[in-house]
Amino acid sequence: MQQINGVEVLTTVDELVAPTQTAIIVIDMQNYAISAQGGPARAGEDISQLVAMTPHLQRLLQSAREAGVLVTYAEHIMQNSLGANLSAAPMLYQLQLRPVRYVTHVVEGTWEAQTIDELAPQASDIIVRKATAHGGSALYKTILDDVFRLRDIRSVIVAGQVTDGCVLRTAVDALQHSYYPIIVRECVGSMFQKSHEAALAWMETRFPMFDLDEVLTTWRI
Amino acid sequence: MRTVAGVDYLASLDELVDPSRVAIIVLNMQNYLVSENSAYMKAGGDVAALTSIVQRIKHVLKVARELGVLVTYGEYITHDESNNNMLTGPMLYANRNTATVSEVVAGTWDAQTLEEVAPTAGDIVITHSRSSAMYNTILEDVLKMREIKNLIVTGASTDGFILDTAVGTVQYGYYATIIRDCVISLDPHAHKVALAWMSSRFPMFDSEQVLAAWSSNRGHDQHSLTT
Repeated sequence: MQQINGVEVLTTVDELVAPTQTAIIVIDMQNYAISAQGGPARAGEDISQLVAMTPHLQRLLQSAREAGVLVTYAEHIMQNSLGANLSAAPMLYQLQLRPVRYVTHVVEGTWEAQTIDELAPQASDIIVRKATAHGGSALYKTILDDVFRLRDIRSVIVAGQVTDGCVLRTAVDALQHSYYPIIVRECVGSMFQKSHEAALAWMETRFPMFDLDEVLTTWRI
Repeated sequence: MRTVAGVDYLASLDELVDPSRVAIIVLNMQNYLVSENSAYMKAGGDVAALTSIVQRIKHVLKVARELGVLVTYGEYITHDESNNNMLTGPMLYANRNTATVSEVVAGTWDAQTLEEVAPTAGDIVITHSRSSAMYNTILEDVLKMREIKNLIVTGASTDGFILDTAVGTVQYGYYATIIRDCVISLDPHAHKVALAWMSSRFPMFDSEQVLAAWSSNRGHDQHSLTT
């Protein structure tokens, strides 16, 4: 803890991930993105980093549940179950900035829209759905902020994919809502290495960022 | 205009900066940060870079006003007029290696935008205490009322208010466009990595490109006025 201009600032890993005041958001770890049968893999996108990070996220979630950390999920959809298109034009602009092999068409309620079995939600977890109309933030017009406030959450570990999309955007939004956005290096990933690295480099200048073992060690004590 | 997944989006520079649907915001170009003896100067900031950015913003604003483009300002405060502290721990985390940060009290000279790029009659000025100028301010309502589609983001700091406001703007359903040579930061490394990420997500242009697009648009206007 440090005082800056009369304000308490949490600075150590123990303070920043204290179990009763920390929540995790698992972002977009759904079949469409992580499975070899999902759209991106079938279109030839490189999902190896997303597959490789899954065991790290499993360890994070297992340890979180043992320590009593609140676990929440944000699941991306592009169409609701009635077929309405929920994508937003300003978010589509980015597609022309890189070679596009795949445009998401995830429909609510389908296998593609579910979080992968390895990380499946358990009893009493919280799940929210977000469309591109949410601008990539799991906190924008979802119930998560209310849930966090009711539980006196101070820190939000933003995990999942993609680092340079919904993870970064959710972290920025969490900051607006006065939560510490926390990044665990092994628990974020992307299909786009260059912007993944740029996003991590920028986030490191603003947000607490830890290795997985630092967080797990803290929770084990 | 291009179409993806059945949705049309603005794709070209001309479409994005069309004066009828664009607004511009000048963020954080306030006396406390960028005047003489300011935080920027004390931190050893590049004075020549700052001077040229101020001149470029000034020029962009002049042309924008001539074309009737809505001009807005985000002025950051850490304390309201009753001196209530608006700083939060999560925002200060990035300053954890410093003992104090600049205090900016609403209504003081420190809080005002630099005279050279100051607001003029008809502009919109909002004050904000979070890093996104869209968060809990009337800016989004103004954009909606004026039927704006795209917000051009200029000012400081690239890796702070600029990036966070761009992210916030897209959340509310507007395009955010960065003018690469009209944003500045105290931290060259953070400036660089923030630009690197933003260039993968947002329309990003040089001021010359935007001015050229506006100049061809003005050509149309003059033609219609003279005939």
